[in-house]
Amino acid sequence: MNHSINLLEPDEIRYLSAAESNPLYKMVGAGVLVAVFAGVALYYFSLKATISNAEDLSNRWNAIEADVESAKLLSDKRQRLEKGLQTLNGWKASRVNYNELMTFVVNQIPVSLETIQISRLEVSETMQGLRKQTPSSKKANFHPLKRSIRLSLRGTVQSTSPERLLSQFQRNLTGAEAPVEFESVQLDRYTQLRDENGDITDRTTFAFSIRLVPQEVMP
Amino acid sequence: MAGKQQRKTQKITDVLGMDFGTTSTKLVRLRKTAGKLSLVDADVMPSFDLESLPKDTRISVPKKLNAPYAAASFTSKESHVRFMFISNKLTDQKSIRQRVGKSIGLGREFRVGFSMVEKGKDDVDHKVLTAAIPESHVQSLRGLMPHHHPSLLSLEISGLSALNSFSHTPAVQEAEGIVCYLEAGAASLFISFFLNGTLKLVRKFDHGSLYIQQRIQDVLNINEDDALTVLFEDASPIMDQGIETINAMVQELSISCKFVERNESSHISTIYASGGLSYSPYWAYIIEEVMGAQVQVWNPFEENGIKNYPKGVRGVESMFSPAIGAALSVM
Repeated sequence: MNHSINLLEPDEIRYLSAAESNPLYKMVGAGVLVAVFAGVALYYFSLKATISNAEDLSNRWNAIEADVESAKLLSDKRQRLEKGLQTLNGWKASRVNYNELMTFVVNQIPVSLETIQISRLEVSETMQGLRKQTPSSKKANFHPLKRSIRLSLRGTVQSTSPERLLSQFQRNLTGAEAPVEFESVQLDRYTQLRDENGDITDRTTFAFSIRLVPQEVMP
Repeated sequence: MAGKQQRKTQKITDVLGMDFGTTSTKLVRLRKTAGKLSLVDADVMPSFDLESLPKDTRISVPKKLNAPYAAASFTSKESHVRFMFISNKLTDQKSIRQRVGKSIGLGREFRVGFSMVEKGKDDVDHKVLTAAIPESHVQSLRGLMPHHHPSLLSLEISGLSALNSFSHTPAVQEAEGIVCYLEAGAASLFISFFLNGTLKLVRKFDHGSLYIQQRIQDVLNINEDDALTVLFEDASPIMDQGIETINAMVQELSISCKFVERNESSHISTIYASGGLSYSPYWAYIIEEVMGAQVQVWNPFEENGIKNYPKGVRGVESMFSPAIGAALSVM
C-alpha cells in the first residue's frame, strides 16, 4: 500500500513532452535536422558544381561550335565519298574492256574485211538480282547483283556461201580465247538480198547475239 | 490539474530518486522496463544546508544519473509526521485537508499533506498519515533543481518515502504478526508498524545517529572518532558500564510498541531497519532489547528486484531506502 505524501502542489509539477523526456527523440530530431542540412548543403554544392560544369561546357561549346559543324559536314561528305568509292570499286569488278572485245570480234571474221560490213553494234546490259530497296546513306543493302551484257552485231557479207561463212564466224567466236567469257554466241538470222528483178545476189545480211557471262558487281 | 491529466497518459519509467540527508545526498536512478526495475546508477554527494543555501545554488546531477524526472525526499527537525484519527463524517478531500491542517496546528508557513491510511466506518475514525515541512524548505529544494531536466515530480519526507521501498514487498504483505520498520538517519528516526500489510502507526523522533554519537561523547568523555567507533564497531566501553545513553528515546519507542501491540492484539515479529544507524550494533542491540525481536538490515535494492548495483553501494544499501522509495512513488 502506497502512503506517499507528495508535498508539491500540482502547479509545481511539470511533465515533460516526449521529446524532452526521451533523449532518443532529441537525437532523432537532431539527426533529421543534420541530415536535412547535410542534404541541402550537398544538393547546393552539387548544383553549384553542375552549374559550373555546365558553364564550362557552354563556353567550350561556343568556342568549338563552328569547328564541330564544319567537322560534321566534312564527315558527311567523307561518308558519301566513301560510299561512292565503294560503289565504283564494286562496278570496277564487272568492267568490260570493249576495245579488246571489239578487236577480238573483228579478228574472228573468217573473210577479208573488204567483203564484210558491220553496220550496227549495240551493247545492252541489264542487272540481275536487283531488288527494290530504300536508299539510305547510313544503311546500304547489298545484294548479289550480276551485270549481264548482250552484244547485238549486224552487218552485210559478200559471199556465195554465206551460210558456211557465218557458221565459221560463229565457231571462231565461241572457240577462240576471248578477253571476256562468252555465255553464248547465237546467229539470230541471215537473209540473202535480192536485186530489183527479184534474183538472189551474193550479199547477205546477218545478225549475231553475243551474251557475255554475267559478272558479279562487288559491293 | 493539467499536470495530473498528463500524468494519466504519460508512463514514468526513468526517475532519479534523491534523498537530501543531513550528512549526504543520496542519488539513485531507477528504470522500469517491462514491469522490472533496474538501477542505472547510484551516487552519494555532499549534503545541502537548506537553512543557509547560497542564492542560485543548483545541484549538479552526474550525467549518468540525469533522468527526465526526479523525486526527492528530505528531512529536517522542522518537518512533522503525525498519525491522526479524524472523524469519518468528513468525506471529501477538501474538508479532510482542512481538518488535518487544523489538527496539526502549524501555520501558513508550513506545507501540509496527507494520505488516507484507512477509511473509517461506523464508529471508527479515519486513519490519516500527515506530513508537513516548512514552505521555505520546499522552495529551497525546488530552487536546487536544475532548470529543465530532471523535472521534479514529488517531494516527500525521507522517513515516509523509505516506506515506499518497503510497504509493498512480501516482507510486509506476507508477514505474520506486527512488522516494524525503522528508518534511522543522522538527524531523525522514523518508526512504522504494519499488520497484515496495513500501516498501523508512524512516528518521527529527532534522535538520529548524530544525537546518539554526541551522547556517547558526553557520557564517556571521548572525542568524535572514538564515539563513532563505539557506535558502529565496538560498544563494549559503554555496554560494560551499563550506561544508558538514549533513555528518553528508548522510552518513547517502547510506548509506541506497546500501543500498537495492545491496539492490534498482536506482537512484533520482525524488525527491519534502514539508514546509517541500521549498521550500528549498539543501536540494534538497544532496539532488540526494547522490541524483543532481531533487527534485520533492509536492502531496498534486492527486495525490489534490483539484483545488480554498484560495488560502492554494497554494505550501505539500506542508506538508499528513502531515495529508492521516492523514485518508486512516481513510477
